[in-house]
Amino acid sequence: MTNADQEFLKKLRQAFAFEAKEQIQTISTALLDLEKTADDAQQKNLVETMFRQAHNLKGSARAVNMISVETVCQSLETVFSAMKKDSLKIDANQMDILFRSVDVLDGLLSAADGKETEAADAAITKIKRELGTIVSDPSAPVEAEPEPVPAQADAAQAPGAVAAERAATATMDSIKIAATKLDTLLLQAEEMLSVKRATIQHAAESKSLLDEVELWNKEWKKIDQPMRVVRQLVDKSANITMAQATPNLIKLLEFMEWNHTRLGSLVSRLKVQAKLVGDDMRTASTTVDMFLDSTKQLLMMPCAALFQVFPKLVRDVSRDLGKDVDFTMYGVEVELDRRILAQIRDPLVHLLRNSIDHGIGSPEDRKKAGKPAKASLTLSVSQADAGMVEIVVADDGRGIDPEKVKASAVKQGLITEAEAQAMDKEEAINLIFQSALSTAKIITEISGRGLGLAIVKENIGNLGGRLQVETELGSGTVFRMYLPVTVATFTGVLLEVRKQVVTIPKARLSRVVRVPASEIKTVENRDVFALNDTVIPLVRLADLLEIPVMEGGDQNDLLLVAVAFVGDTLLGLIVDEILEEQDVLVKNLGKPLIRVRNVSGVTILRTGEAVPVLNVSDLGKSAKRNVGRTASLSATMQEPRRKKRILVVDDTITSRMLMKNIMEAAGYEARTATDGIEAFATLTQALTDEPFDLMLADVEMPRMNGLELTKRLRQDTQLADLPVVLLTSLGSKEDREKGVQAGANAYFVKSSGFDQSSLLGVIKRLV
Amino acid sequence: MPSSKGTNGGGEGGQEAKFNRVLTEEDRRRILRERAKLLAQKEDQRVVTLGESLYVFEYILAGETFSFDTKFVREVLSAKKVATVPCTPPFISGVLNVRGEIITVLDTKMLFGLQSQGITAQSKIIIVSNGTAQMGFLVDSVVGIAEIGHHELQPPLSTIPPQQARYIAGITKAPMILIDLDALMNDPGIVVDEEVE
Repeated sequence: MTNADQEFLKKLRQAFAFEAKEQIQTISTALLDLEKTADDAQQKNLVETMFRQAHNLKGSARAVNMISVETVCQSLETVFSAMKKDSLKIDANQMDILFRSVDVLDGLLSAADGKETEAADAAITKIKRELGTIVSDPSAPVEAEPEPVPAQADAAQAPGAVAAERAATATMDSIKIAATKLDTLLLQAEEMLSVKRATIQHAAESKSLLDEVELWNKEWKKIDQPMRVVRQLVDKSANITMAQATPNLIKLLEFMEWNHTRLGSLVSRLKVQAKLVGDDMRTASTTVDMFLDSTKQLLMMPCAALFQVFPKLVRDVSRDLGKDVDFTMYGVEVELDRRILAQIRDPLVHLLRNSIDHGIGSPEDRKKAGKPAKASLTLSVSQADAGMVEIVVADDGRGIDPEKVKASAVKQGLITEAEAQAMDKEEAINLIFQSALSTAKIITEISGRGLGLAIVKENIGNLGGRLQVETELGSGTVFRMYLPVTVATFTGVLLEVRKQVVTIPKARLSRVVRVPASEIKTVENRDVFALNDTVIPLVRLADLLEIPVMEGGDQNDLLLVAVAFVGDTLLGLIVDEILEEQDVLVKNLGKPLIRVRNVSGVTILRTGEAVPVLNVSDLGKSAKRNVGRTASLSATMQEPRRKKRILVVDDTITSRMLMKNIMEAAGYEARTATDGIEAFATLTQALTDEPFDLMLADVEMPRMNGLELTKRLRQDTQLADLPVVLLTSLGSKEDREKGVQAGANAYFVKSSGFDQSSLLGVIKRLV
Repeated sequence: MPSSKGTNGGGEGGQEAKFNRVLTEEDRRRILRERAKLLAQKEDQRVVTLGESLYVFEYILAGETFSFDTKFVREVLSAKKVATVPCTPPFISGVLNVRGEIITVLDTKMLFGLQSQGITAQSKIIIVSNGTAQMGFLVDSVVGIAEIGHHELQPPLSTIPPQQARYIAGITKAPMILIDLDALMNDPGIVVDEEVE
């Protein structure tokens, strides 16, 4: 095959893939509808539709040489044909086969360039056989067979659900746009030509005006000589008679008159020009704004584009989990910016899964609770107030039990027993949005990220939306998502910190206040100040952004604080100056900057300068990490900082020396002890004059090992609160758990991949 | 040889004006002529001829001459409006707005382990593209286009630290160091991908 032919086949395949996805989706939707309806006439229509789709797809597949797809379609076509002609009825198991065949087709399409793999071949053979059984012997049960062993790396998830998700991502790559939208866009693009023409004219006029000035310059030079003569006359520096001077005086006068006229004409030209430029500027602004708006409109897609894969997803997950779910969607014609749709795909899948898995009970459980066996799950979209959309996921399942949530939170160390008692139902329910492991009682090197709902809420927050939950124990749960209709521009506030300019979304700024240094207090080692009865933590934005302190240091007496919304809480950011507000368009950072901490993108000001846009959620997290940081405001004013003291306990000399060096290099004062007993004695003695701030101990030691030492400390009234970090060569889960039970704050494993910086990071947080 | 390649000292001033665009007319015409010649030849012949010479864009870093293959070079800009981005490693000078496109600028000297003074009045930024990504490289000054024969390229000396060596395509007698820009742009060591824990 020549190069040209290969290129053509590639393009053809792309077109085929786009069309095929639609056809498969149609079959899938029709199957779902077929399952739900009992009406004969409707069933006939659906079968007819599916038959046609399968037939067309078969033909197209042959045209692009995708034999695999063609043969599966052939089998499907046979089944649909039988359903049409012989009014073949399909039972639940056979319906499953039909759905699986859709999954197989999806899988074949997604495979790179239609290359057949062994697993795909096996799947094709299997599905063809199963489809064959429907036609030949509708009453025969489907053979239970082990799934083909290889390639299914998605063993953890239901294969059907995976296929549905794959389809979901694929749907979003290419979109259909109404031709009318494009027509409007083209018209407006053409209007931009007038902007270009205006600019050309203005450039020409400016040049022409400049030429005028050149001309003036020439005339000016001509009277240089006459000026000199007249000056001599005035200064009486030479013997110049009036007769000699007069012609020169006349020349001067002529110039003055010429000058006056010339300037007059220049001024009127400039006035005309200024007006024209002003008018054109206004026209251009409108034209450009309208063009931008129209382009943004292109990005609007009905939610259905994303949601169309959900019915199948719900069906597959429900079957896998043994639940019976009736899923309905409302308002899917509502349009959203496709960028937002892309972002809410994962959160919605997560919420739907959650409902089916945790919310909805099995049919037996539901019957026992007096509910219909078939659970109801709905996804609805509606317009909320200006520029916002509301998406609701509701189920009639078990609801969320606030007591269970509280118990789990206490167990994970998110809240104390006392706090749990004090919480009302709403606060308790909202605990589900907390990141599970970030404040765990024991920190290990592999501290996982909070999963699920915490990330969902954060993602929605980053889009400029909100997520709420309402639940009634026994009745069901409702998740309410509010989202902006479009992304695009937002208003940014420019800030200056240590001579660098950054911008922050205005929507995330609560207010700006001036705080005198005297009002700064310290609570739990953090700087805070009070604003109308609320205590707000305070940090220097420049420190969070790791901008070095300049000569002269920072201003300390009266601080300018920008109070920002971080999730539901407030954070005070100390800045040097607040500059203007601008409507900004956020652009992504380019390679090799994939993800930069605290920065969400870059914006371009009217002057053409680029300015980084700050990521407020990141700032919130960074601020938490900064606890115990170097430039504590109240501390620097009150007492000189003293070095933190760490006791290193290990029975081997090399380890002791190594750890001591590391600690001292990091700026701590380190002392050593050779075993548990000595350590305990040292700690107790030190209490009277210079107590230790943290103990770093090996677990495996003679006489008293690290675990016993920790237990002992926790029992002692004076040393119970001492932060303890255990080091060990034992890395099993049981050993970690032993560490937790003993009361250690953190547990590190001494392996070849020993991470010094993460150890130091943890120590910094604990001292 | 194109007139653009002058001596380092005196030639600089006159060259400055030329390098607000990348190529002079003369260079352009010459290159187009050469390419036309190459394209007119038959396939198998072409393979041999391409092997003979290479067009490179030369620049200066800490007094030494380096170069990239001209096929990567998009344009050269002055370094005035680079915006610093917080929380990035020191070899990232910042980002620049180039007609609406945000391009990341890297401090080439730092990448090569040389002492860097950051952005000075004389620095220039070479905007490069490898087809998929665009980046800017901060250099002390630019020289211009040169033609080198493939046979002139030697492998890098063993005395050169591995930090530099992995980006070097070859060295000529001049001495001039040819940088493998593909290797540099795809090097995972320059990627910044960090979350706040």
